[in-house]
Amino acid sequence: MTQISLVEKAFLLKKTPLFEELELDLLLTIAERLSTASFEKDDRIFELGQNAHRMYLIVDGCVDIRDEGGNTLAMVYAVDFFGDESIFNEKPRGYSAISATNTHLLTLSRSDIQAIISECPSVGIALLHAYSSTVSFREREKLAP
Amino acid sequence: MMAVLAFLWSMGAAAGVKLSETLFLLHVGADELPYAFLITSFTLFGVAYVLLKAVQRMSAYSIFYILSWLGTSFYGLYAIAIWVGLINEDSNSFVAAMVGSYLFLLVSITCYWSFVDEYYDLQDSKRLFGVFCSAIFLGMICAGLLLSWGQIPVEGLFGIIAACFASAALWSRLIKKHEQVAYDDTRGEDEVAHKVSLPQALRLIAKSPMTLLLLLTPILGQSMEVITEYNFLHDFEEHFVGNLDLSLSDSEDAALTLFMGRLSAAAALLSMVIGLLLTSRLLKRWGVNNMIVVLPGIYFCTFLGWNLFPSLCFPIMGFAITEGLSYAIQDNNVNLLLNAVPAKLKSRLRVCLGFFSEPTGMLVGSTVIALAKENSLYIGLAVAGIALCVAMGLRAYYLQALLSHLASHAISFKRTARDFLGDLSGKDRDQSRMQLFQQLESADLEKQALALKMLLVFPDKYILPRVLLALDELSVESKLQAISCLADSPHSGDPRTLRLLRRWSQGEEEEVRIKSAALYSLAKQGEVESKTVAMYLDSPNLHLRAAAIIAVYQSIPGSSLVDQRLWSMLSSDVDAEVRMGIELLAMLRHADALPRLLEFLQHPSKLLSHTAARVIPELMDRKQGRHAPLLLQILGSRSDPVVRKACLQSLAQLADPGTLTPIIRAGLHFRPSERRLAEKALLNMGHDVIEELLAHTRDTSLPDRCRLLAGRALCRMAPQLFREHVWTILLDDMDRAYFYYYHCHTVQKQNPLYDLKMLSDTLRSSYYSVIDFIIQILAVAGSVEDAELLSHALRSRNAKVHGNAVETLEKTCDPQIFKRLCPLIDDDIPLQDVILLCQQEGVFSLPLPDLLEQLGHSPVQADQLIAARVKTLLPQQKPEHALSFVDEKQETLPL
Repeated sequence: MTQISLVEKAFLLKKTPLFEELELDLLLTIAERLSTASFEKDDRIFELGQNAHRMYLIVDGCVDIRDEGGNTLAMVYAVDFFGDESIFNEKPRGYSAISATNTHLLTLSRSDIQAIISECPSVGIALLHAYSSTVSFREREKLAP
Repeated sequence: MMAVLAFLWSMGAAAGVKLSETLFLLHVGADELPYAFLITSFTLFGVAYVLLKAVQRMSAYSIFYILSWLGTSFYGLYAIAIWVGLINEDSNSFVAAMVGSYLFLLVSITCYWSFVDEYYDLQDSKRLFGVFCSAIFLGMICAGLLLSWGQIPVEGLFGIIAACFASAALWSRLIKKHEQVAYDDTRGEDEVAHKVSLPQALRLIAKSPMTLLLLLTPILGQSMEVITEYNFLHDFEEHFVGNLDLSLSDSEDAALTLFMGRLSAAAALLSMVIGLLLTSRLLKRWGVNNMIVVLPGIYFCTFLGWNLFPSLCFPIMGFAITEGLSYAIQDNNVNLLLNAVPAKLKSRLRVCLGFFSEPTGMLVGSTVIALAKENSLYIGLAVAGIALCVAMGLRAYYLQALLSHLASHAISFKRTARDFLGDLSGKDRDQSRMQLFQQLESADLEKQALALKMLLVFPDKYILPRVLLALDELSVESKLQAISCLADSPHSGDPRTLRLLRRWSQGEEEEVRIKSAALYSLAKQGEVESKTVAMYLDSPNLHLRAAAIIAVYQSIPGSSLVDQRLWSMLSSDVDAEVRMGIELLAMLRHADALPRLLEFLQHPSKLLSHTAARVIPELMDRKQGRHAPLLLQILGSRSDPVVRKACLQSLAQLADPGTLTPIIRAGLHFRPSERRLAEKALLNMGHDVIEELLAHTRDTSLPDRCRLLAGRALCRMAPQLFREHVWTILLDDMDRAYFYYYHCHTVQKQNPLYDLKMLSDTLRSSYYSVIDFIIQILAVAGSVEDAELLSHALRSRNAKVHGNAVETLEKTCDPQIFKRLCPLIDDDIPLQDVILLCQQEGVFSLPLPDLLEQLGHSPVQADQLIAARVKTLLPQQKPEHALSFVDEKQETLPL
């Protein structure tokens, strides 16, 4: 994957629902902390039960979110994010993430996310919004009869 | 487990080297040694390259694991080949064995330390790395003993070496399974170290004096070893056989061998004792930065004495340092100092130190000796002097490097877009500029706005004409957005910007919206004459009307015509009109501006309150003190961050000492950015408030967050005074910390008949709160430039960052305070020991009623609440309820 510049990262962040409210200075501050990761089709990004350190933003490509039995829980596409739950509940990964196509990701560490939320409550609120709107797929198994 | 692992691989690797060397000498001969060394050095570069790539793709464990199995295969196959008679007098196979064994030794050392490093932070490393060094040394000694035993055939020895490597592989797997790595969230899920390109790595090295000096250390260390070795061997030879004309006789040979053997044994013992018993203690007492000076210092003194006095004592000292101390101290120091280099470089740097710096040092040392044998003692003194200077440099840069390391792990919210763009390298800046111009042509308005904002703060003095040229090509909506962006940019008053706006305001082909917006922008810059726009005072076009109001007000200040329009705008039902009115009121610095704007600050419409919030701080100055009570009231009642920010910025502009106490009390609920603004407000009040700040920092009846705010401001205002009073500020808090610690761990055990979980949880929470306060105060007092950085790092869950932060604290805070605090922040001290220490610190075990009474008078609200709650619950629990509860929970009933 060609290196993503700081400016490109800032543009990508501005497109995501989590960071769209942020001002230019903050966008660049967060963009500077992002790391990049590339995966080929069918590569495992992380496994269920693995220790969690980071959350992921999809630059391009598609990620298959799977449960213990290997069933697809959701497909996550560009500008969406995943892997954030374990960052907050400090539990091991609750699902596996598999790259469904060649995928490029930006990643943010747990301590950086916590610092960002402390500094910009709008990011925390956006995360809450994301949780409340996606609770159906996260809790599908529990809700199923 | 790590020490056992060290023993296993070091025994295998060292035995491999010694055995293959012996076989080489027996079957090939010493004449071919240079040839073998040449192959080894070339292969080393190849392996180093592979390893540098590997550390970016695989975890340290994976590399070590694969390496161990490669070692097993290599030596196992060699043993089988000898056993079946495939290897007889074939010189190539002995060369291969020798080259391979050297490689396995060097790669194992590097990979082992990389693997170990993942499990320990700096504080653990200081305690344990000395032991691991000794385990490596012990493995090497055992390898020597095994070979000198002489009872095992060669193929059997190779088999044992293979078994050592296999055991190391299996043992490392066991460690991986059962031991928890030090938490480091900067690494990816694949546990691979930081990925960094070569140019980035070189840039990081160039920017870090610590890294450069650290790269020099093994070069000088190895040179010293070679020079010292040459000199002591030369002196021993002279001492034992120097007076004889004949070649070495058997008796002299035996005497020299016996002497060397005794010295080697003593040096090995010395190394073991130092590694096992002294290193960690010395590190704890002196610190890594001082320990790094020890070895070059001893070398320097030894060479100084050696040059001045022809005594056997100095060659013996040289032998002891080279064969004993350097293993025990220097390797350990370098491994510890790697914690202070940029995290992205650490794994690569370890490879470079092992594969480039050390061989270079050997080359330099041997070249110097070859060229100037006669003056080798003077050269030794000179090299020792240089090594001492480098060590002093490392010592001086250590704290700065630690702080840089911490900074690299923390987000700094103080930097602006211009700072970020200015820090880009030339190539990245060109690329970014190109990308921004591409985005400016995008159809997406949001992207365009972002690109334009970045371009307008781009640190390039030639960029404005290009931006203005590009703006000419945009759509109407984009041009409107661009006018707004230009007005807020640093280029708003630039003649080239004004020229473009003038053209747009007068252009026949431009749309009315653009013309009016451009005219409004020009009016704001004072570029519009009132007579040309006065006719627009009642225009329905908001921008034209605003331009007219500005121009007329500037030509006739206090004009009632303008006032009428302004009040009419402010009382309009249309938000856009009111918003324009607010902006104009501020822009014209109208006499009645502030009271009206403060009303809008509390307006229910977010749009209007935010517009007011944006302009109010610009109008505030020290003469507007009468508005302070209202600002404080809004600050206390509103949760909107934009409004709160405006209040704090305004209070900072007022700089009224009368607001000091209310601001500090409000500090209980500040966000980080708000706290920074509050600090600024306190700082602006000047030195007259220093005593008051000190009193607030000491006041234990205030919440800790408020005290901390006062402390931070005080430290920035009068750092020396603050540091002088840190001990008195923290005295009571230290006692509180010990009190909470002791009782949260003992209260339930001492009162088993009651369910006191809620009480012990509250005590624990209060303990963490006090500790956090102490740490933050110490961080504020100790950090040279960025107090927040150290306090954040000390609270970080990242073990590596926390370890480095404790190290920084140790280096910056009063040793007396650190000694008292250390047991409370060091997770490795057993609970019972800390409880014992609490008693030594004067904490008495309070009976439950007394404890509750004391908590009832605590300044912490949570303590008071829980004490009251527990008091009401206790009678209900006793006796029957309590007994049944304890019965369920504890199974045994202590009646």
